[in-house]
Amino acid sequence: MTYTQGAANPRPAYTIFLILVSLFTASGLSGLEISAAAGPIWSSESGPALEARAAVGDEFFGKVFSARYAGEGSALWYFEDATPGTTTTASDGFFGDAFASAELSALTGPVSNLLKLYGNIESPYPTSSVQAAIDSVPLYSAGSGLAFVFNSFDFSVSFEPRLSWQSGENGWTELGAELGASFLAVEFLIKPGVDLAWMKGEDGSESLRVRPGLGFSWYPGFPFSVSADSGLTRTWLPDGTTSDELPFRTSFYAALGTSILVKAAVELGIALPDAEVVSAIGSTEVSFTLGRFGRVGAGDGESTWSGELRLPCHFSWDLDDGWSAGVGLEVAFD
Amino acid sequence: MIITRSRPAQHASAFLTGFIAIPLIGFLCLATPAQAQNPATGMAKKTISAWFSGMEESRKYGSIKNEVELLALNLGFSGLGEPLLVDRLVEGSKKRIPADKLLAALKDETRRLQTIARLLNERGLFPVENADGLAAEASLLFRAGLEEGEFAATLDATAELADLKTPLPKVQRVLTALSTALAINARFPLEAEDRRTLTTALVSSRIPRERFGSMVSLFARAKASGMAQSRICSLVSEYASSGATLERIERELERRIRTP
Repeated sequence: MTYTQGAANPRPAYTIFLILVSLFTASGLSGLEISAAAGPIWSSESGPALEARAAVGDEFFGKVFSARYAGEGSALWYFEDATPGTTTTASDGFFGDAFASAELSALTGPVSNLLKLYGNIESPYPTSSVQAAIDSVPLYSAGSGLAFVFNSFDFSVSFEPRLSWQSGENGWTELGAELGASFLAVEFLIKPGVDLAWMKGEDGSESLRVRPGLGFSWYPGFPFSVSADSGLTRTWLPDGTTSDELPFRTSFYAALGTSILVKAAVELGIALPDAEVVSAIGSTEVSFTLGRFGRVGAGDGESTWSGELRLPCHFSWDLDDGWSAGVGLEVAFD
Repeated sequence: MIITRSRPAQHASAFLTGFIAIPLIGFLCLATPAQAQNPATGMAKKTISAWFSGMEESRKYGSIKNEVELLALNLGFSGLGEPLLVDRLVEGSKKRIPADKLLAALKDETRRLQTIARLLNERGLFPVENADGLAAEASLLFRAGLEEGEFAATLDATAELADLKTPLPKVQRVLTALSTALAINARFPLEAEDRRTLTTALVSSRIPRERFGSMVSLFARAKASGMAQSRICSLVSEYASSGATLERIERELERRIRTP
C-alpha cells in the first residue's frame, strides 16, 4: 500500500477505530428509545396551552465501556386569552426547550468513571405578552461532570466534580463537587453525602455553598418505592454574611396492577433560622398504559422493537408559579 | 412489520402470577433451613394411608386411594416424599374438590415434582436436606407460570456460584430469582427471553438473595419514571451479570432518568 504525500496515515486512526468497535460492540446490547407525546395543559399563571414533546436516546454496551446519548425537545403553545367567553388564538405565546447529553461510563471493575456532557436551550418564557417574548433572548445552559464511583460489595463511594453554566442576566457559572456514599441496610439504601459548590453570577457576585445531607431510598419488595433526602445548605455571600436553608425532597413511585403507574414528589426549601418556607413544589403523575405492542423482528437475531401507548395525567403546584394540570397521549418505542 | 397487541387474558394471567409470586418472594427469602425442612407443619409424620384412614372428610376420597399411593411410590423413586402429596390432598379436600378432579391434580403435581427432581439431579443440585420443601416451592412457581426451560437455564447459572458449595443455597437462590422474575413479569410483562436473562443474571450476581425482591420496587420506580420495562430489564440484567450491587444498579437506572 502506498500513501500520497500529505495524506494522513490511516493506520493509527484505523487501529483506534477497531479498538473502539471492539469495546462498544462486544456485548451486542444496545438500547434505542424513542417517545413522543402531546396533549393539553392548563396552568394558573398562563392559562390553557398545548404541549408536545419528543425524546430519543441510544446506548451502546461493550465489555468495558458503555456510551449513551440522549436528546429531548418540548414545545408549548399558549392560549393566553382562553377564558370563558373570549376568543382563543393559537399564536399568543410559545415556549420551547431542547436538551442533549452524551455519557461515557465503565461497565466493570470496582471503579466506574462517567463523563457526562450536556447542553440545554430554552426559548424565552411568555410571561406577560407576546412582545415580551419576542424581545427576550433564549437561555442557554451547559455542563459537564465526571463521576468516580468505587463499588464494593457492601457500599459504594462516589466523587463527582462538575462544571455548569447558564446564560442570561441572572446567569451563573458553577464549579462544584459531591462526595457521597451509599450502603444497603435491609431494604433501605442509605445515602450520606456532602456537596460543595462555588458559584459566580453574571453580575460578578460570588458565593460558596456547602450542603451536607442524608438521603434514603426504600425498596420494599413490592411495586412501590420511596426516596427522601434532606440536609443543611449554608451559603457564604459576597458581603461576608451567610444564609442557611433546609432543603427537603421526597418522592414515591408505585405500580397498581399492570396498567397504572403513579409517581409523586414534594420539594421544600425552608430558610433558617426563621423556618420560613421559601420554595415549595409538589407534583404528581398518574400514567395509564392503554396498550402494549409486541416485539417486532424477534426470533431471527435481528433488532427487536416493542412499544407502549400511555395516557399520562399530571398535576403540579409551585409556591411561586401556582398550579398546572395536563393530560396527554404518549407513544414510546424501545 | 407485525405488531401484536397484548390480550386482556394475558393481563389476568399476569395478575394471578403476581398474586402468587410476590408473597412467595418473601416466603423464600425468610424461610430458614429449619422451616424449609418442614414446609407443611408436622408433615413428616403424614402418610397417604394415614390420611385416608383419618378424619371423615378424607374417607370420602377412598376411591382414589390406590392410585394416590402409586403416585407417592413413583415420587419416592425421584427422591421426594409422599408428604408432598398429602399436602395437596389436604388442600383439595378442604376445597371439597371432587375425587376425580383431585386425582387429576395430584397426577399433574407428581409430574411437576418428578420434572423438578430430574432437572436438579441432572445438574448435581438435588439437595441432601430439605428436598421436599424446595421441590414444593419450585412446584408452586411452575403453577404460577414457570416453564421447564427457564428453570433449567436458571439452574445452569448456578455453575458460576463458586462461593456456594452445597446444592441447598444454590437452589434457594434459583427459586428466589425465579419468583422475583415472575413477580416483575406479573406487573411489567416481559418477553420470555428477557425474563430468562434476568433470572440468570440475578442468580450469578453479587446481590444477596434476600434483596432480590427489591428489584420489583426498582422496576416500579424506573417504569413510573418513563423507562420501558424491556429497557429496565436489559439494564438490570447487564449490570447484575457484570457483578453490580443493588446500589450500582439503582445508580445506573437513576442516571438514565432525566429529572427536569
